[in-house]
Amino acid sequence: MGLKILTVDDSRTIRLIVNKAFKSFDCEVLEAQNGVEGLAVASKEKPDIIILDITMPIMDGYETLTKLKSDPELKGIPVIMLTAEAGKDNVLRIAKLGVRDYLIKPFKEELVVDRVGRVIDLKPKGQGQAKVKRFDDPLNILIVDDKPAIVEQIRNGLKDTKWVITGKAHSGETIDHCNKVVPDIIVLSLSLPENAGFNLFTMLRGNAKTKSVPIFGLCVKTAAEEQAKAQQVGFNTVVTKPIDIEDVKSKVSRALNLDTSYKYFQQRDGVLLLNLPANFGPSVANEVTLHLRPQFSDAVDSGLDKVIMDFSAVKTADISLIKLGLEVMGLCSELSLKNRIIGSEAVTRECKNYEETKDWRFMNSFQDAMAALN
Amino acid sequence: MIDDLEEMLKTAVSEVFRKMLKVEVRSVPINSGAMGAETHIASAVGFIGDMTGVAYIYASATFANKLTSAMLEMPEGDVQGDEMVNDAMGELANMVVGSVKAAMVERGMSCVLTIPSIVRGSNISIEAISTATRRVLCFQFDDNQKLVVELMIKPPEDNE
Repeated sequence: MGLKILTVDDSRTIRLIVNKAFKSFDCEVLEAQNGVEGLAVASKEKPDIIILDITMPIMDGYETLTKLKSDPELKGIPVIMLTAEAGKDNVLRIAKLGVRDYLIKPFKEELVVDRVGRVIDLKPKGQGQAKVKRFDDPLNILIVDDKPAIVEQIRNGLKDTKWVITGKAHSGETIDHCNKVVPDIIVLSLSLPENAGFNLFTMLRGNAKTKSVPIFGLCVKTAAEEQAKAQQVGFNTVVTKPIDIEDVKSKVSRALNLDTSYKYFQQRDGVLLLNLPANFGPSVANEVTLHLRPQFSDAVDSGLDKVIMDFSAVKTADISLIKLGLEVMGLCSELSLKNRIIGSEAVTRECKNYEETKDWRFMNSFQDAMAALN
Repeated sequence: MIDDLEEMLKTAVSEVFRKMLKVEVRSVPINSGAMGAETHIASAVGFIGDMTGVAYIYASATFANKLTSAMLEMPEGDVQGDEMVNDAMGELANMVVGSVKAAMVERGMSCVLTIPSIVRGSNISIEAISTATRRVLCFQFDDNQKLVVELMIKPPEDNE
């Protein structure tokens, strides 16, 4: 459990509404029904923020706030007043007492979250927890682009995943959608009219629900100015058009730190098998490289001492394949692991042409490789 | 001033229900201020200062239960007993009167609010002393359910 939010209000209804507002965030909402209880809970629990009502029996909000601010241990806790008593006189009075902010009832839940999110670093539930998402887990990807064809192209490209692609064309509907469903990734067109993409980025970063969601810019490859501006303002990355779907998958995997190792690594018949797919290229090579050390450590830890690299599906031996092969060889040597490579005819032939790979010995099948290792 | 207050009340009720319950209400003529045989809940919040008075919000217990479930976004069956409904009705009154108070403060009339109190029962009616100025407003919801807001103000000369 991360942050602690203390709501001090004599109304159970308000305390329930505050609880509900923060339900989707990684925080604990503590409750007190008057100032005396509030001070006791604050002393014991040291909350990260207090949402304090004014009109309460036993001890009202003014007295509670005064006592909080005069206690050396509690005076640093930010306080937001939540009160039905609006009006300049109240606002001036509570401002003098040193509140961080104030909210007037009636209020919208989103507003409470927004104001609290400006003071403490709220994170959606599940983020930063131990469970690592896998590439084949369902994800919500929000595409904000006024061209439906682009949304459709991405949706089609990703149809072999369990990812749900939602398209929105305008800022307003994007914010509404994000308040209902917090996406795992937002892909935002940088070429929306009137700079809307960049303005929306600022709004999303200022919203407690979306401030930690990775946001990718989307623009044509040649729009260097937009790409530079996106990097400058803090977009996580930029996807360029024409869209390379493998690049999108790779960027999503990296942004969310998705576990993709199961796609390439397998422990089978007492060996660690590295299986490269037909669409192998620089993006896949980067992904595999990220998993190499943990996977090799795991294998050694499990008592394995053999590695088979299956390059048979790979169409051509380009520089990324060679670099990866050399890295695997290096790791095998470091960890004293025996290894063999399975390769197609084309890859075997091409590897003979490079100084670094001319001595690689290729096997025709998994069985041949196993026989050679035993 | 009392006519202004009536407008302030209408605005406050609309705003509170729109923000807290996401529903639109409309002001309709009232037939009678008395509550029928069905159990009703009346929540009252007073204001004391340059202007002194009390506002009541009342509805049938069935409708108050619906309002509570809408406010807390929970199924009606999950509303736990009278206490939860009382609290929600009290909070609605607090917000409505708080909004009216803010508008009064803007006009240079300062006051403080009391904590809400609840009356629950059937065949009850709210009466005012003869010198008090009284306004009764009725608000209708989409499902024809009604909520009554009654405002009683002590005339300024009696506020000494």
